[in-house]
Amino acid sequence: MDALLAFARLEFAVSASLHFLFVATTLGLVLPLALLATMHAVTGREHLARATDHLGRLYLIGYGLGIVSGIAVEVQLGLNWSGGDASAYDAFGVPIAMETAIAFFLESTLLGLWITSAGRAPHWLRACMLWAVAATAVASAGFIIAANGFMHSPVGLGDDGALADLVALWQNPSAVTAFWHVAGAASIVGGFWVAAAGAHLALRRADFEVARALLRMGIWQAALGAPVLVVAGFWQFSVARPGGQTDPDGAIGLLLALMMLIGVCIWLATWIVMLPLLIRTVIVRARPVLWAMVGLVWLPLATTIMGWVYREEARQPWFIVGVVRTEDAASLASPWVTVPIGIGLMAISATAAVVAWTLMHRVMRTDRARELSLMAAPVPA
Amino acid sequence: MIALGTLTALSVLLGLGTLVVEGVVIARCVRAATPTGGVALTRLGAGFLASEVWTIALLGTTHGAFPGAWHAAVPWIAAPLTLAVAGWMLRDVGLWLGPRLGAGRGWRWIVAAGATVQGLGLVAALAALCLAWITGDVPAPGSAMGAASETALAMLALTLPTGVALVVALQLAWWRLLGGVRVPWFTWHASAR
Repeated sequence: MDALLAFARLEFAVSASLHFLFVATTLGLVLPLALLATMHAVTGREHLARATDHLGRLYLIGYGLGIVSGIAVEVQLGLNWSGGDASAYDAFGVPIAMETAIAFFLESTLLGLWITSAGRAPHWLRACMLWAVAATAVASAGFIIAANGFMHSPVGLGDDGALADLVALWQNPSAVTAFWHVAGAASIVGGFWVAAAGAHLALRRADFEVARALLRMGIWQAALGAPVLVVAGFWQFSVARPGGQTDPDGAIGLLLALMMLIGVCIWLATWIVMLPLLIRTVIVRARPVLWAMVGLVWLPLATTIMGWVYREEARQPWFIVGVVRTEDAASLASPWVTVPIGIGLMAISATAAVVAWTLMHRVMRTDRARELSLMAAPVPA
Repeated sequence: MIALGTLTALSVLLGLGTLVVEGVVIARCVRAATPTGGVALTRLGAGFLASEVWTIALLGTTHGAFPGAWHAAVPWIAAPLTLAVAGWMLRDVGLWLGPRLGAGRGWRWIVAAGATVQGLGLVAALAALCLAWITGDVPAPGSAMGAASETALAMLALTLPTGVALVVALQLAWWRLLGGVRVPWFTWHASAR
């Protein structure tokens, strides 16, 4: 294979994989965040405001640096992968446009409103804002996966190769199954983050109520996400790429096997070990288990990367299976331009991931801030 | 034709939104390293979250509605747009991390440098795009040449304006009711966490 094409593929793999770590983290954190804020708004219990604030800090670090890494993905997509006949990109461009001009546009605005309205709007209204952020985040993931699903299984095209059937685009089994698989994965990733935040507090014997709330929520979230992940994962085999590659071998096959093993182990561990430990909150005193939760946050994150590398590798040698070959989709400039920009973008993505990881762990390791910065009580009129 | 006209108008609106809303934020960030820069950034608060999405929506909408024109424009705008995006990323890193990691002048320099590169890159990209239109290398805005299929245009014309209208309403409400308030999370002072 042409060395420059291989470099561009590596650049895509690195920037997209690192960005997906942020996607899974924020998608997995926004639902428990909205749920905690709602429980606080309904019950008025103070520890739920502290828990929301604590989780909100983790979420915002992931969101902010996730935007930085997302921009890196957009740039390399635009620069390196705009080749070939533009009409083939119709079905790809529609969901991407809807993601940017509806879902992400609304999501970012609503999140900014939530941050800005701290102490100025009633808790119930701010909880509604978080649910709207969660809904747009899920829609965003759906649009992106619809575009990705089309690349694996191009449905809805007319005889002239242009997009003709929109219903087929949204009901594409390759996208629907991938969506549920990603939803399960994000649920586990988020659950691990939430449980780790609770475990850090429990290990330091700081704020028992918040620690217990986060541990319960995180473990339930991972436990509920695990069967969705595994079932949707197996479901994908029959529909992901009709007529495409089905028998991975070598390193990619190993990656697939490892990913499946870890997915099943997480399901078993959460259901057989973690959920029973929630009875009478035994888990708060089970320090080895708490240490395991603190130390294993990376595991589901690493596994999601295995999944994406496998899925995208299995698409080769096609950009859009049966329609555009990868080599034809490439729109590479000279190596003197492509390589330095590529290295720069990969470095930015890696830096964003390392900084986010460090800051999120700093938030979890240090005692909560003395004042609530995201959940201040509304000032009376 | 109605769908094409709607999406052309929407692209123009998003372009103007980028110029005005994001332009104001870039201008404020360019002055971040001045003695009053910290106060200005505190007043900006989370405002940059609302402004930068205009650019992202513009890129996504024009790519979806006019993929042919986009692909033709890539060689013209690749270099300045990459520059703009590099500056944008630097600015955002400063805006997110500055208030968390000290909020000193160093972080404000990063915001100012990033915003300057971003602004210059955007102006250069716009100039390159105008040049490409003049030379005829890229189909003119609104032309059916370089546009997506009729089905794709219809889908986008039916859905995107609703999303954009909702965002405009929310951002106007934000601006009117909460514009300039101090946000603890984005407060630029030495003891900020």
